[in-house]
Amino acid sequence: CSFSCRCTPAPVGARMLARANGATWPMQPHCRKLRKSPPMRLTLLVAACSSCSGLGSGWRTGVQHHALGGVRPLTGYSRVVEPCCAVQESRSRTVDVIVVGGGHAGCEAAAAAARAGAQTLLVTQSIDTIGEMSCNPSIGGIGKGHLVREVDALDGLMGRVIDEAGIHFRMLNRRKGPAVQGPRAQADRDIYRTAMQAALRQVDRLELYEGSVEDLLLEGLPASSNVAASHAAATRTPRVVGVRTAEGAVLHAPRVVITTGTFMRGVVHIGKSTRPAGRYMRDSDSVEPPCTALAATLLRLKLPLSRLKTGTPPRLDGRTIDNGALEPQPSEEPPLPFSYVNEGGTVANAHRLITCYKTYTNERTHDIVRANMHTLPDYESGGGKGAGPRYCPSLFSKVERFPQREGHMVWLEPEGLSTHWVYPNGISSAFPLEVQQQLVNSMIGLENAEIVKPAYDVEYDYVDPRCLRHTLEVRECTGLYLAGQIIGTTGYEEAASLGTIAGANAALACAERPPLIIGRHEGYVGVLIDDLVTRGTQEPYRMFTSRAEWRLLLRADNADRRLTPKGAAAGCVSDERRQRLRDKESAIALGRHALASFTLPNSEWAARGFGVKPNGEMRSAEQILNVPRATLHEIEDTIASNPHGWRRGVEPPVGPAVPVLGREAVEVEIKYSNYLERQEKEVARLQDHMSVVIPFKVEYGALPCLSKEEVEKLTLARPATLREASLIPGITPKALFYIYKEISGQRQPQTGEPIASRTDSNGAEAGAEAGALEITEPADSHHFMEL
Amino acid sequence: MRLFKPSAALLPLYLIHARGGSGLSARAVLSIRRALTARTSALCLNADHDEPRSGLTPSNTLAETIFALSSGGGRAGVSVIRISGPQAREVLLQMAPGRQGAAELPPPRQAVLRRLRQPSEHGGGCGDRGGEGPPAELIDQALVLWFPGPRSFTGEDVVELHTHGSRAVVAATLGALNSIRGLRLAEPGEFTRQAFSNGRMSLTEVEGLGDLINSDTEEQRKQALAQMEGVQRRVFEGWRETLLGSLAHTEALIDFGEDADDVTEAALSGAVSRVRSLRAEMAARLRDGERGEAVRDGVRLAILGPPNAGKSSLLNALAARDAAIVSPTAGTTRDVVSLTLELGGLPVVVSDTAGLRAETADEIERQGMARAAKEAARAHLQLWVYDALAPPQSAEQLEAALASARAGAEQEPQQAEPQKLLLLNKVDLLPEGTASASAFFAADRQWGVSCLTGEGVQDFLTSLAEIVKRQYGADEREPALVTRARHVQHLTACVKALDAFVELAQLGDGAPLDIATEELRTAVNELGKITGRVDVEELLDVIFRDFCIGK
Repeated sequence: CSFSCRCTPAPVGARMLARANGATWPMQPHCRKLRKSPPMRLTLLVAACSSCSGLGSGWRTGVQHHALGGVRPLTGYSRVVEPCCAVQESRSRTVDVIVVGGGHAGCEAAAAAARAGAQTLLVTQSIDTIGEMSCNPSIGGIGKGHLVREVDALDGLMGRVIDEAGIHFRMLNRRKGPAVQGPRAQADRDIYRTAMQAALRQVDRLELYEGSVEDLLLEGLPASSNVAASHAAATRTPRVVGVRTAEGAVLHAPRVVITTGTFMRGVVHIGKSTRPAGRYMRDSDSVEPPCTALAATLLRLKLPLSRLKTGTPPRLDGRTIDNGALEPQPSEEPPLPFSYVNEGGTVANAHRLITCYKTYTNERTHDIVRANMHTLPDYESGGGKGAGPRYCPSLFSKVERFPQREGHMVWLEPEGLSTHWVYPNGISSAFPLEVQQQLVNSMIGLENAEIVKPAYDVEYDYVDPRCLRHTLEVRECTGLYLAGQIIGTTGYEEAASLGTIAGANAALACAERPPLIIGRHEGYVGVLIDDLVTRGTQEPYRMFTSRAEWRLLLRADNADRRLTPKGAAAGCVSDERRQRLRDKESAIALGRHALASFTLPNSEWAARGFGVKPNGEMRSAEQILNVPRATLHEIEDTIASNPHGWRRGVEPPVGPAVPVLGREAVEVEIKYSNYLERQEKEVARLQDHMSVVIPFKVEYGALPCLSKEEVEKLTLARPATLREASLIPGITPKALFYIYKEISGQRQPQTGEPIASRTDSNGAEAGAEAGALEITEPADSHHFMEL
Repeated sequence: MRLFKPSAALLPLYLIHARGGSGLSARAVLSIRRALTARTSALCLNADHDEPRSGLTPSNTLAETIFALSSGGGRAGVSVIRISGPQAREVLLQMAPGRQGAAELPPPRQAVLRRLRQPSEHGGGCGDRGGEGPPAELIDQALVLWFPGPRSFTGEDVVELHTHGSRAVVAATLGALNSIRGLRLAEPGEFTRQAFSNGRMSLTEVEGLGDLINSDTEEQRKQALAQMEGVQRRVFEGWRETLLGSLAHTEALIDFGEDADDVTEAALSGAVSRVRSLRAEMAARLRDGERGEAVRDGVRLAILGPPNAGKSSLLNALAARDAAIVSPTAGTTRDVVSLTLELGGLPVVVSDTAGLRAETADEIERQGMARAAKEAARAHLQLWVYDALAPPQSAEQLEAALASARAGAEQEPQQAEPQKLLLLNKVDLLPEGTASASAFFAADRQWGVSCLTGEGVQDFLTSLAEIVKRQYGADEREPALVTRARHVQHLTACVKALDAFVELAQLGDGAPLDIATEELRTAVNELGKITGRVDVEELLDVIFRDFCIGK
């Protein structure tokens, strides 16, 4: 860094590169004392590398790095290692799909692409850190657990890996209704990482490649200096053809998936100390370098970038925690596995499950927070406060937003079987280390706890996901896919499910096969993608069950039945798993048949505590399950002790009446049959309407109530069906409703109250068509005709 | 030459892109539109070749700007012509440029007197520019009002031309507007539709406006005005807010109950009790809803009774009275004849029906009786007319008469029980000094009249007006909330869903919250349909506002 502060110079390198690539980037020193000075432009010190063509790379810091050849090091910069050309053994490669990044999104993207038949290269800065859990050592939860099951249903890795690595399992919301139950597990970080790497190595057609991607190879992108050329080229969409690594290797592929997480121009903060990095290394004080050059390339593509913040709490030495003073939370036994492959079975570490403990912050903690507010980092995003996730607030924002609260819950989660590190869930805040230590010691049970790794925050660039299609391909750049935190989400599970879809679609596009698109009624991943690409996000997006309008259909117990067939059609599901699904379907049929074949008079059911009138009416076990509060477990007990209830000619099963496989599905589907039917009807109606063909001659400008913007978009895109129209960003349910009415030839009579009720039901459909909760009832012509 | 207007396909990409982001405010979009319009004007000013349609401009471009005569048709003192849309400003400058040569906009929302001219054919539609040829033909002198969007009725730029109300002036003005490229005649209600699209009005406000424009009676005017001013919307949205809060708290229990310590069962029981009290309020308003519909569509009064009791004479007597506004309409059926009176400030639809008797062999008469029964069922008030010499002896007698009429006709679910009134006709036939009365009707619910002599008819009408007013008028009370069948339907569905929610949520520990919230979501949606909005982000906002959510 040429300035007299002591920060590392990586951002300077980034800016040089940006400048060199034709973009301009006002110089903004990241050092505080220089920030007040007027913006400067950096004098370029970059010269072309003498042996390779062009400016392959930027500056690199940290552990294993190569730097640009032929470039004069900046003053004070001491870590230049070697020129870029003397590096990779294979300088040029060609594959089908390149996945950049080895986090949760990258792993699933690479595996999905390879499963779907593409020769795939996963390029990551360090193969060793593939599958690292950067923040909490847990997978799943409400909404998130659903996502993991869906990834698994598409034959992804996460579910199987967490079954390998899980050391504490719970089914959340067990008593709040089957549709909202979500599996959650805590992992041993080391086992998880190892298992993930092993799982990746077993995937055919997938190769891991260590390298640091610096730039995308693009075709059809106008040079920004040539205005005329850029105008001519504006009509053609640029296309990605590969990547170039910092080490100088050129990797060719028609499809590239970028999953760089928080690494895009990442900056980590602890107190006022700020370093450019994507994250801290787990077991040293050094950082993993950010991707800066890539950000410049995305800017050249005119992708809308802005900044988000997230944070992680300190890690504690478990041996210094007084667990005796705390409330324990043991794992559930037997643990319920995530993966459908293990359904009805168990998990790898079932014999050595651990226990978590719970403590609380208190007034003293909050006083320390308030007294040290000024020591928090100076964030770039959120108006200086950091644009962090609302649902996962830092300790500071909890104290700020809820000053009346006397305490906040803190879970103490062991990070593994072979480490004494503990993750205190709920107290992230990037105070300086000594303040963090005070905060930790103010809590019961943690009076003597030692911090082994300080909390830190990270700010990073994300791409507004509204520039993506539902396949996660960038609209304005053919072949470029984005997934994970880079498009504004948070959480391993969200990343993994986005990665799965992006990877599969990259491979399918290579093979010129139809894309894999999951609807909002088919999976949480469908809700996730639809929300992102149509609405965008201003804070890190997390999945909740309340985001799904067909929540009763999208359960954790039936993700395989919903998605495995779709995955199979896309060619990314193994034969073994398809067979597994067929077995499950027949087990479910068997179980349902058994329940329908067992009848008792109401009086006998009532005598056993079921909520029915004690009369002589005969009821089957299936009907009894429909009664509120009746459980399958109780019914099976009754069946077992009343063999006379079996219908004549039915052979009573040897074991339990309902097979273990698919048991949950049987219970829910019978219990909620009426509600499920209602939602299925709504979905079916939606399907009917969405497949309605829009004639080419429709004059959108002549339709009432369409905004000018909508008319323009529809006229440009000329969608063939209502579904296609609905996929155009910015097209509202109301617009769809009017298009639907126009093409279905439903002309509304001008007066008469009965019409109102009919149009209302149409209104509901229009909302359903949008598939979103935002059911804005269209102002029907009826309302206006009177005027 | 004609105006060159870029078609959508030729719009610069950045513009489409810029608007693709919904982050743009309505104001920003408008300003972009305005810039666009300004640019097209500039284009036509500079163009001096006469052949603009060089294959680039489609024959029919999308007409964005609409115009219409907003006051009544026919000869009048003043006629109001309204123009709304991105080109309104240009039209104003073109047709009413103000002092010669200095085309300028009048101050916003202030009336100015200007000369209204034909848009010049050779001026490329850019108005008469001082000195360049003769000024265009004068149409009229008009008061001109300029409402720049979004602070206008429709949310777009609006121009109002108050011309003299002659047919010729109106025709010439409309013709002139029609000749401008990009302008078209508005469809019925389209201005309001724009207002709704641009978020200037809610659905109920739109309905209120419609009712106000169509109001005939005093009570209708009051009710519609209140509705248009948003009284209704505020109540419905207040309810929705409450429900949304309850929904959010229940959802929070699902999504965060396991992790955030302040999201507890107390949140659910709080939600249940709020829903309960709201449900009671809604049910009360629903019962009250009959009143709102009655004001809007008229109080339905069915004249029922045995044959030859004088029902038709009564109707004629009513029709002949000067006090009543009478519009006899032939019934859709052969034998139900209706007329509308104004009584107590409310429209009252009086229907005469076929006489009811126990048995008939005549198929047509049976049909007529069935229709009478139907009419009786949908009436707010049943006026039973009997011969004063043979007053009905028991309530069962009335029921029996209807029951036999109903036989054979398909049953319609009866809504509220109609109120019964008794009119004893032919009091002139009673022996001098005697009076007739029915024992089971209250004294203030029965009258003796003679349709022949007119005796008692005025008294009867006065009392009836009072009853109607007391029952359905809005004088002392707040205006009715539920004014349309649409509202009733959604509100009923909402109440039903709330009942189901309360039932499910009260199953205690292990209550199936997933389907309980499903019911609550249905309720919120139904309510949102009345005013026209529901959004999931709102829900999340409530969740985040009320709870401290940790991971």
